[in-house]
Amino acid sequence: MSTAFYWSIAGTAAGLVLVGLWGILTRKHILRIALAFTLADTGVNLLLVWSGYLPGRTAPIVDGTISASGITSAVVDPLPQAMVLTSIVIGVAVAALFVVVGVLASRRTGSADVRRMKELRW
Amino acid sequence: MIRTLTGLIIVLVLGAVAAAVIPEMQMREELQGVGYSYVSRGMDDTGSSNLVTAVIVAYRGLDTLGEVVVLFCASTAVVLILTLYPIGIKASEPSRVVAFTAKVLPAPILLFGVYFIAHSHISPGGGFPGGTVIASVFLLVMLGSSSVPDGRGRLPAIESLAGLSFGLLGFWGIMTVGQFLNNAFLGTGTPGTIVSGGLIPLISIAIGAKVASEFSGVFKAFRNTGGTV
Amino acid sequence: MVVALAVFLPLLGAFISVWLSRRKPRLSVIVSRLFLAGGLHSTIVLSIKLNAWSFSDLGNSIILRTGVGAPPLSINLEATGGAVIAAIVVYVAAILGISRLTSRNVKTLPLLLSLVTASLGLLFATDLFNSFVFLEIGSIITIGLTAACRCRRRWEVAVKVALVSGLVTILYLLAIVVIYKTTGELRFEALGMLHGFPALLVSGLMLTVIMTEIKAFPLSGWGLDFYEGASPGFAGVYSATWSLAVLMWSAGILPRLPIPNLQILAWIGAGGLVLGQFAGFRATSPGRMMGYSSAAYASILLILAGTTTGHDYLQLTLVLMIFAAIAKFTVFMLADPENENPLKSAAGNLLLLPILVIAGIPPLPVFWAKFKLLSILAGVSPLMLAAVVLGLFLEAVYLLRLWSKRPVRFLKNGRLVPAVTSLLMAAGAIWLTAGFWRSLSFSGSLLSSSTLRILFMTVFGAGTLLTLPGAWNRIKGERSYWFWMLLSGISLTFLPMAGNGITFYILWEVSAFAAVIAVSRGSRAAAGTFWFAVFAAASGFLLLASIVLSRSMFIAPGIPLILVAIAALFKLGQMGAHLWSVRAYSAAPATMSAFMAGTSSKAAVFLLVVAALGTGAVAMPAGSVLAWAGVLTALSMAVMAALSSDYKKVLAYASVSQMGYILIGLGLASVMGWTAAIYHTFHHFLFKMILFLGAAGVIFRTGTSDYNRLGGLIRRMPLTFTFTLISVIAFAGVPPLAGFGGKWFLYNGLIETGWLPIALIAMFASVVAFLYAFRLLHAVFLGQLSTVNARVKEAPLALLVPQGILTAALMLFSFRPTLFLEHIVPAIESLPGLKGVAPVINGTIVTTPLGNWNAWAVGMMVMGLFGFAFVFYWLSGKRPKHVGQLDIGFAGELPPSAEEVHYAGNFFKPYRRALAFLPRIHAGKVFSGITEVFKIAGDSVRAIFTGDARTYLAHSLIFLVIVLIYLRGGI
Repeated sequence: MSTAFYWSIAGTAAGLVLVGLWGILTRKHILRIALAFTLADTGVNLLLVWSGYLPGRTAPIVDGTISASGITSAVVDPLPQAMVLTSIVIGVAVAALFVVVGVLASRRTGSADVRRMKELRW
Repeated sequence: MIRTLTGLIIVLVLGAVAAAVIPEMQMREELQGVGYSYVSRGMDDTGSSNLVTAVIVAYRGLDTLGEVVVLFCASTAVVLILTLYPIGIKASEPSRVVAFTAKVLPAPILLFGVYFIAHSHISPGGGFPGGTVIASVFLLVMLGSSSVPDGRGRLPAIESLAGLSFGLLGFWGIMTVGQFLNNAFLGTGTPGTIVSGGLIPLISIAIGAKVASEFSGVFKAFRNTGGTV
Repeated sequence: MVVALAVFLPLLGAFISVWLSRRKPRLSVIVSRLFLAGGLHSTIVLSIKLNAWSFSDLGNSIILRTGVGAPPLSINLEATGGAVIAAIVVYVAAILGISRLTSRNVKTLPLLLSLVTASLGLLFATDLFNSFVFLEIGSIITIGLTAACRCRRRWEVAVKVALVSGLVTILYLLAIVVIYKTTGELRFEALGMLHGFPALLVSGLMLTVIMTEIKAFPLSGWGLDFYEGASPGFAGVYSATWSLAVLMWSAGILPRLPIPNLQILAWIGAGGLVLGQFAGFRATSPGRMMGYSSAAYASILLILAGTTTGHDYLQLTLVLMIFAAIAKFTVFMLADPENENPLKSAAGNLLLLPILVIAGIPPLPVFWAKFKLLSILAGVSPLMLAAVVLGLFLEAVYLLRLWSKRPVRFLKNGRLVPAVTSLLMAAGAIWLTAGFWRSLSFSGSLLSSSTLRILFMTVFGAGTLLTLPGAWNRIKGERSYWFWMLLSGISLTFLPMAGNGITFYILWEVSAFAAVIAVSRGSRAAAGTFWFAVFAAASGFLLLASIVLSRSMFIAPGIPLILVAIAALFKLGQMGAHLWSVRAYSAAPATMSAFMAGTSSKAAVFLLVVAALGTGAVAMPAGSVLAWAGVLTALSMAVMAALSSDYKKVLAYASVSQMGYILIGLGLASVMGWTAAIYHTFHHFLFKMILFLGAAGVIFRTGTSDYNRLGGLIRRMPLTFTFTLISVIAFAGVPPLAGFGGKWFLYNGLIETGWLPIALIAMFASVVAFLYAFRLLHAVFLGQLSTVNARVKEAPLALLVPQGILTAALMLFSFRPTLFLEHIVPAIESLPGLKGVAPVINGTIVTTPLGNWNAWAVGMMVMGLFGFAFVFYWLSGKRPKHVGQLDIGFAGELPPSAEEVHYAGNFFKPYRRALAFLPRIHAGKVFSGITEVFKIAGDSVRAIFTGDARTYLAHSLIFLVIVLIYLRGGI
């Protein structure tokens, strides 16, 4: 059961990343691209959590249910969880900025189509 | 057409790479590498019974400082851009439901946020989620009234203070034990109690205040621009 | 503690300024400056502690521990010597750039200060996830500050930067997942613990991330758009802070990548350098040129990572990256922010130094690193060396275009910043030159014959001294150039003392580029300077390539010798390269033209002599090619001179033509030929200097060099006329004056070797030389005095005295050539490997297989005949009648303007008709053809940068796919 869960999470995460990349490469609307990025970001975050997964264990917080002595066989890896927190916050920050810039860019160029934003080239 | 095809090929190849590399990452049964050390030593080193918080605030506090800076820069940039180039979201008169909710809910949500922050070292929670919860109060109050809260602009002052205290807490560690952002030099207390984890609660409060004021500032920037366009 | 202060003081300042900038904007700028100054102070303390300024122990470090415990649990910041020096640059750029960035909006302060912390964090990072956090801070600030500027295309740029950094985030996090999952930790060292498929995947991901971040070709599209579209103020600060930090960070990661053969990085870099610079060659916007140049430096970083290790690697990356960053910062700071297209108005005077720094001209700091890099590459692969040299040359071309096409003016405000950075670059040049001083040699051992060495030094030194006084007589529109002429002359004078390749190269380049600058200060220099600079760069790079290829020798036989021969031909203006020389000679300030045509062109002769001797024995495998090149140039340029009607252009064509004779002589590789070449070198120096100085006097007094507006000046400027007359007779090659000797030895040598066709063409070319010499005298000095010139005075003494000295020398050596030959001939005879017989000198008689030449006797006879004729004329009592220029009638009509009846107007109409086919086939077409090919190549390369942000993302992903396939060894 846990093995199947493990692989299915990996598969879902990889799928999310790939769908996100596909969206980034093929969508034209700037907010859809932002959405595709968020998708891919979610996939990556899922992968991060996945990388710390251990079967049958609980969150790395010492409370009544876990004894301090047996803790190393009771909880999952805390580092990926810490990293995913950082990554989520960063994702939010970048997404907020990107949306603001994107909205303003589409207002100024009169279109949300990224193909219109290529005055700078060559 | 070409673009779709290129995208498809790229995604297919990368999918093949993923299909090849993921099976190499077999599921482990035991903690490995630094993860094992964090779990086995974490409580003794930091005094925090929430090991994720121990990693975030204590072991890898530098990452978290960076994370704070990321949010700080993003919110500063958003506020800056929106001040320079207003986006023009129209502020409408709040409906009665919203107005009522905005009167009733802030206190319990605020309490929840504060709890989140204050107990980050002993239970799930932390400065980031707590700060976000508090900022949601600001959003709620803002939506519930036609005026903008924080008319006198105290948010940046809070932001400054919170950021400064985070930084100075870091320097405190250097001056005592020569290690930036060290939390343990004052003693770590009894894990599981509210006064434990060394500086972790203080740092969490700083983070919480900073995150809350930053998000509030972003919300305010969106609203501020409402009337001008 | 010091490390923490260095990294985090700006952050504290940022936290304060976010509040203060709203309350007290001015105070917040001051406070921010204080925080930056504090941080700078800490970094300087660090650099002293680490002894980083010696540039030798760059690996030393001071570690700041953070958090709880020790790595791998916690994170260290490691301040290595190299990173600390880069950090100082970051600080300096931030402090200098702060007023530019905050002049519009002081609320950008927190972002600028945070950018400094992020840059230092990245420079000192030791942990992969930690680096990721810093990278994100940098990207966010870049997006924010780009969008906050007032330039028109800010949104487009911000969107592109945001999209690209979003993709980088995803790829980097994927790499981190694989690394952590496989190794269980996140320090840089974890990269080395990877094996098998994960190693491959991580390498591909990290390489894509790094190449996108450092904007290496072909992943540079977004960077090009950024540099073109962002405000120059921010682009400048960005390039010297964030961009520098990312480059140095990448320099730390690249060698750790788990790739079995790191040399592939060098090939990616070399390929990217050539292709990217072909594209850059076509760039028209200055910002974009800077973008292409930064892509070049990114490619160089890859090359370094693939070919060097250890101390060399640290030192080279540091020197290249920091000085390029300072230079680019300076260029952007010179841009006028009020202008619609700001960089187009960049101040010309201060722009040159950063451009030369980026292009790597000695002895500027980047040169030392580039030289070392090329020496290393010569041992790795000649093909890679060729690619890199070509890439660097293309970069130099568009950088020089950026400089030469700018209107030359100073900024009104903000001159302080470029002045400070220029001082930094100069200090770097001095510091590094001092460091490399021991590798230089002034033993003069490149040329074994001390007689010839002294001869060349005399030519260079005397040429410099004699032209220098004239440099103070400037006509309207010329700016002071004496310093650059003097610098050029001094380096030339020391050229014969060079004892090894690098010394020779440095003197050569300093002389060439000082001359470029001097020419650029002429009144109509714009046209001439660019091509001069391009050919100077081309011959410089050819020389450099052959020096590094020859290793211990100066110039090795084979390919290096051929490259040097091409370099010398370029310098001499032969075979179509007159493209630059004629334009430059006629565009330069008049005295500078004299210096260049008379003196510095002899440097190429010296180079050919030394290179031929340096191979052990005089070896001229392609001597006949040289000779043919020389004779064809001599003829075609003589024709061009005859058809031209501009005083300086005629002289310019004439000098190129005369250089052809020297080339024939050298190509003969016989004692007779070399005697001819050396003899002609010296005498050409004498009479060409006289002619150009005379021209300088005429132009200084009349303000024009157009034949149609001159004429009759013999009465106003008799001394100048006399000197010019004597040297015209000399170079026409008729006895009794000196030009005859050179031709005599040359024909002797040609007949001895049996190259009769060349001899015939050379003779025909001398006939054409009569035409232009004759016309020159008439058009300028004889005929009727134009009314506008009726009151001109004789040339100033500063020009006349040098002409007098030179004429005296010319007369002396004309009548007593043996005074010269009795030293030169034995010296040439003693050179190894020259074939054929030497002329025999006996008193005043020089004997060759074809006969005797007694210049003294001939001279006396001719003088006697002249004296007789003059006395006869004097006694005859007939005097010419002076008439005004318009004192004639054309069938009762009065001629409307003086030009139409000018004696020299359309002088050679019949010849022009008869010879019209010759100019059409001249070799200048070859170079426009080459330029055309380069343009097409550049256009096809840069077509990949479509401007669509998603294309740039696709580039990165396609690159990733290709790298993965390559690393796996196939599909």
